[in-house]
Amino acid sequence: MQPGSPITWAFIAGLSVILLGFVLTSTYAWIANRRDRETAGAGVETAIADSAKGEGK
Amino acid sequence: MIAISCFFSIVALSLAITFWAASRTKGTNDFYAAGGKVTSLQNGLALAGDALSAGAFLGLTGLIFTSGFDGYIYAIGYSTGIPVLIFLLAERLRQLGKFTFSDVVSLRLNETPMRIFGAVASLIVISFYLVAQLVGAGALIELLFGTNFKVAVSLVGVLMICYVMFGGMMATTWVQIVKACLMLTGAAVIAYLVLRRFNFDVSAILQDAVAKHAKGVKLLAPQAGSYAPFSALSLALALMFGTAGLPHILMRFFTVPNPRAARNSVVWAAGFTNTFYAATAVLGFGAIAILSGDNSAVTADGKIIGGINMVAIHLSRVLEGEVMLGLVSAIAFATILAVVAGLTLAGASAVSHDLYARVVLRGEVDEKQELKISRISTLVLGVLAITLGIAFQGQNVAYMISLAFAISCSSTFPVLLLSIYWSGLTTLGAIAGGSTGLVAALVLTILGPSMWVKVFGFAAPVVTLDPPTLISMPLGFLICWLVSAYDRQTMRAANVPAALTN
Repeated sequence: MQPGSPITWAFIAGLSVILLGFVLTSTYAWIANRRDRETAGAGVETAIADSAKGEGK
Repeated sequence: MIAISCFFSIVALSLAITFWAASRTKGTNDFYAAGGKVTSLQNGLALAGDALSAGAFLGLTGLIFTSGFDGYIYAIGYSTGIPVLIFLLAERLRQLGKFTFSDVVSLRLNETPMRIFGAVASLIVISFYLVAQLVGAGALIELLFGTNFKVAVSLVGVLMICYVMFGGMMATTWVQIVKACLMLTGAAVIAYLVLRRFNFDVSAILQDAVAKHAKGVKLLAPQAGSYAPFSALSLALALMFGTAGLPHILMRFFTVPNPRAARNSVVWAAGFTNTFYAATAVLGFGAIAILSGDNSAVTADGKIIGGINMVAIHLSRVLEGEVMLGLVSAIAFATILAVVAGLTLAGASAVSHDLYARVVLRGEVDEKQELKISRISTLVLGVLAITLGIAFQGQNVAYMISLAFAISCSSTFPVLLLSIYWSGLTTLGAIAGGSTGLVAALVLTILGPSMWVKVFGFAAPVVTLDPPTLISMPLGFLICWLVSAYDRQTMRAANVPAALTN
């Protein structure tokens, strides 16, 4: 932002809030989706291990 | 002629969607929640469509045209509403609820009083929002097509009843998706045309706007916050948390198959809405630079012909002639139709699912009967909204939207949030807190500047805070906490003698 520029601090702050809203939303969803995949993956691994144990018997 | 062709195309397309959706609406799950089969992208678009009402498209451009950055603050505030949904509610609602937010609040608390409270609060919020949209729709269609106000309101009302009654959530969702696509494309095209006129130099747009607006350089920074900081804070609270308490927005999370889809749909919605809100700066400041001094859009004393809501319409006409005017008018019409349909569905669900099926018949109701009641509720609600819309002709109804937001974040939002996250909340606490928030928002709005001065004509408001969220929202939370604490203490005291005798 150059001195005397019509793009004031208010615009920078406002647009940052709008952008931050989207960034936070996307980050939250990305982390939660990864957590879900890991939980689902762990579930599958447990099921495979359980079935392997069953076959061993 | 082009405007009328676009108008009829929108009506024909929406009726075709309704016809298609009606053939797929077999039971209550289809009617209330589109069978839970909506994908996250589709739901994201529908959510964006719900959030971007005619107030956002026409109102924000008009506000920026009149007040500059003070108007743009509304766009910034609205952009924070969708992220709040993902952090606090989206997944939990999908996990815990089925058709309405009352399903969630009544899960752990006493069902009958919670459903009555949920339905009443929903209907109050929806009524204010719906009547305001219908009055705005009537005025807009009257202005655009020269139709009589009563005919215009009745036409919108009849179409809205048809979508919901026959197509349920499936039709409402697809009408909303079509509208969101049209609106986002329309806004992108207008923003492109404005930028092209100034050789894609945003500074040039702002400099031209400053040179032509009466506020001059004050146009580029917030002014309202300096003399009314509490009202500015109150407005920020209403815009940030109001969205999270609106019944027609909350209903959207029941249309997706799982919590992950609910979460992802908020990301899509945030992407669409926040891009739109960022672009409103180009539309609003571009309108100041382009329309100021144009006799076809502005009167000699600097007022916009047809009122400030017509800024986007005039801008499109000045930029690209009658074709663009027709398209933008049709988009505005589609926007109103889609939003009123969503509101009517949320209202009908509150009556048929919460009050009739769960409270009156205690859940002992077959699907066909509930579906029939839903359709009757839609019809009754629609006719009532048309009647009220016509009765409010010529009234300043802007306060109704702010009232809907103030009530939703002071009443439904505190109860919903605490019922999900605080195990200490009791039924009595929830009812007392939610009702206090509701009454406080209602009374303080009546005593505030938007009603006491602008509607009743008094010289000064009793309460200067506008909207009253800064008082009513914390009050709602506080009463929930206080009454729940008292209620738990009373229950413990009542249980002690019983435990001793045992």
